[in-house]
Amino acid sequence: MRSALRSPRTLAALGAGLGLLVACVAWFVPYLTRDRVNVAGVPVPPPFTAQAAVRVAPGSEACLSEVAFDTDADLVELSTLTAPRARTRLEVAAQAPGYRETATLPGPYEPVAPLYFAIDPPERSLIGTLCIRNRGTRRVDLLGTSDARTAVGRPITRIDGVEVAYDVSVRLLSTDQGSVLERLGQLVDRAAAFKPGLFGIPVFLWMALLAAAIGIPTAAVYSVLSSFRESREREH
Amino acid sequence: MAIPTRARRRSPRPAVAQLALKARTLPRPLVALLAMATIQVVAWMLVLPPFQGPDEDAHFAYVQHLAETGGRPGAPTSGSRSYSTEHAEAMKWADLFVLRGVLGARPGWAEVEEQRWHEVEASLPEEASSDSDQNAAGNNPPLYYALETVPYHLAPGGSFFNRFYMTRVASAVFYVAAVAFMWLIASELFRPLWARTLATAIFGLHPKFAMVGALVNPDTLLVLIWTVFIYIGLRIVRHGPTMRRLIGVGATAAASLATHGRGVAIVPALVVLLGIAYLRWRPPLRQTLLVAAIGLGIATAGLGLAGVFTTGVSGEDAAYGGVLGWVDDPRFNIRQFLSYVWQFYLPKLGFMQPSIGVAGYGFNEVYIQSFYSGFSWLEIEYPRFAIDLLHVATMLLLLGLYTVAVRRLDAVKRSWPTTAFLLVTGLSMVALLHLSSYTTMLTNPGDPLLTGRYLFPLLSLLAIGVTVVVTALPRRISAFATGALVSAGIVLQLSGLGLAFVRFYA
Repeated sequence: MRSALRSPRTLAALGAGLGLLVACVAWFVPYLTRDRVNVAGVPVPPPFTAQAAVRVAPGSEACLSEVAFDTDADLVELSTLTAPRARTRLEVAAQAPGYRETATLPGPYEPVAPLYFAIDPPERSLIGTLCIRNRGTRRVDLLGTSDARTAVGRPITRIDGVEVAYDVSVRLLSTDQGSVLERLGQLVDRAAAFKPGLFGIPVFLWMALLAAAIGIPTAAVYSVLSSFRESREREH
Repeated sequence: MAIPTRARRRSPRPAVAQLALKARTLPRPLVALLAMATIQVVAWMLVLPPFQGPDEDAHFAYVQHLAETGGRPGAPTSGSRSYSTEHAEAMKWADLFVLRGVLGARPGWAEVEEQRWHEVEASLPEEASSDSDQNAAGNNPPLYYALETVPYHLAPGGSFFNRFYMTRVASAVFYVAAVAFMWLIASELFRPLWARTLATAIFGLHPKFAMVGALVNPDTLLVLIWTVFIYIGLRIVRHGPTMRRLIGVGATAAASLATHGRGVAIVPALVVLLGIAYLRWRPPLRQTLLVAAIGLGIATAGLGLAGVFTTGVSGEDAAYGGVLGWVDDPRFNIRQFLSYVWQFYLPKLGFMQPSIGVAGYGFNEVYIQSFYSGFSWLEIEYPRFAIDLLHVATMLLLLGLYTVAVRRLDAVKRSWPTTAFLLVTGLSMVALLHLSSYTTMLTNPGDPLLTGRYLFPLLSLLAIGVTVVVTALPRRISAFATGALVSAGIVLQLSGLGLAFVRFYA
């Protein structure tokens, strides 16, 4: 037993095993089992450099074109920039061919705090328009972006049909929240999108993920342990 | 007539059998490390959405332009379309424009977006693949992009994303080849098999290099070229210059020059290598002249090739304009430059002016933070504690190297050609990076144009340094340290992949 512990190969295995154990317990497991927000799509992300206000007057409507509504888009998240005011009321309408969902949220709204509008997602993913109508009697400034990093996406913002310089920042969220481990299948399906041939088959992605999670440590540790064994064989 | 012809044709079977036999003689640790490197690079390729690495959009646009038109794209100031229509439409429908470096963005994954893209792709005219005119990477020399046109044309099916992923696969091959050459370097320097394994594992498990290896980016080829150069250089200083080695070292220098502007740093390393080879082996004058002519001649041919293909060798918008701009820049001030270099690594001394550039951007940001971390477009970072641990580990490594050098001064003196060659090769790249960074900051102090990724051609030196320190430890401690270091590499690799997977798809 003592001589086995003295062997360089055993000591290398001990060093590798301890390192991996500590990382699993202290980092990997907490990271993978923590509940996270489930993002169902980001038509326009929050600004990267500077906030811009998309001003929506009472009765007016800001619409984003070519928004993809996926089958798990349960919430529309957006923010306002104006100070909390009474008599404010926003209505969100998600519409696509054969699909229309609306949700209303009365003010006052805290500036920059996210507002959530609950909608029923479509049965199959659709591309359509997302409109935010000001149903109140006071102007509402929506958080928007005009910077070169975040305002270059597909959707174009129009207010009452007229294209504006700023895009409204919008996220679509799923209420089906959970940890990465619990949602691994969904994440793999998402990763398979826009990949050609073999790379786009979820089973192949699953295999690649498993190969990475098991194969990388196994191959690396095996290489070290076999090198100590072969070194010893050569010495003998 | 057909029968004798058939009889003369050599059957491929013996060749395959011979190859299989050769593969069987490969050391098991090397086979395991190559398998590990392949798994890693494939995983990174699949996890990172298209164009989500440093300038990958520009590099692919260069490949596409070259493959479709046979010519290089224009310099960044020469036109308005940086992508072909096909490329731009693909990025639009997969939500890839906004994804670049923006943590809050996600790629498109809805089935309808993919369907719409297929419809758009089918409707595009032929010229939609070749109508880009300018490119942010347009000044780069052509070698990498020219090689990438081969997989681009070989892509089955011909769809845009097929061609894109095929070019990524080709880069991945360069990455795995670099790992194999690291093994050869380690075999040249270290006798114990475990030390060779450790050096190669340090190189292969570097998380950010594995990420870059999975991208369309000339940096991967540059790393391969420098790793090959260092291997052949070591053979020359340790075993003497032969014709094959000289052609090899000249060809790698030429390839470096024809791959990237930063590749020019290989020239001083080559000159010093030839000098060391002369001092160490003292060949006769005629042979010396032949040696110099072969090495430098091939390298000059590479320089000429890059210069002819691009807009010249020096000056603005030229292949090496960015890295050699300091040569004819009248604002270049040697005192200011030295002060900048000092303050990059060490605290400012009382008599010094504040350094040019971004305050606080120095050793930690380049040699630690963006060297190990900063995946995708730099937006994916390891947690603070991991960066701090890597900083401590780097300091320990430097301390260890100093201790080994002092304690084994005689051995260092005896192997001066090897030490000098490795040191000069490293310093050559570092000096060039500082010179080009300083020159850039004379125009735009907010952009240091120096990031950890630029140091990857010297990754083999890091692996050698770590292995030198570990092999100097008492036997049992070195065995334990080897296991612990490899596990640290595995943890960094897997966590990098995990962070990227969650960032894009959660």
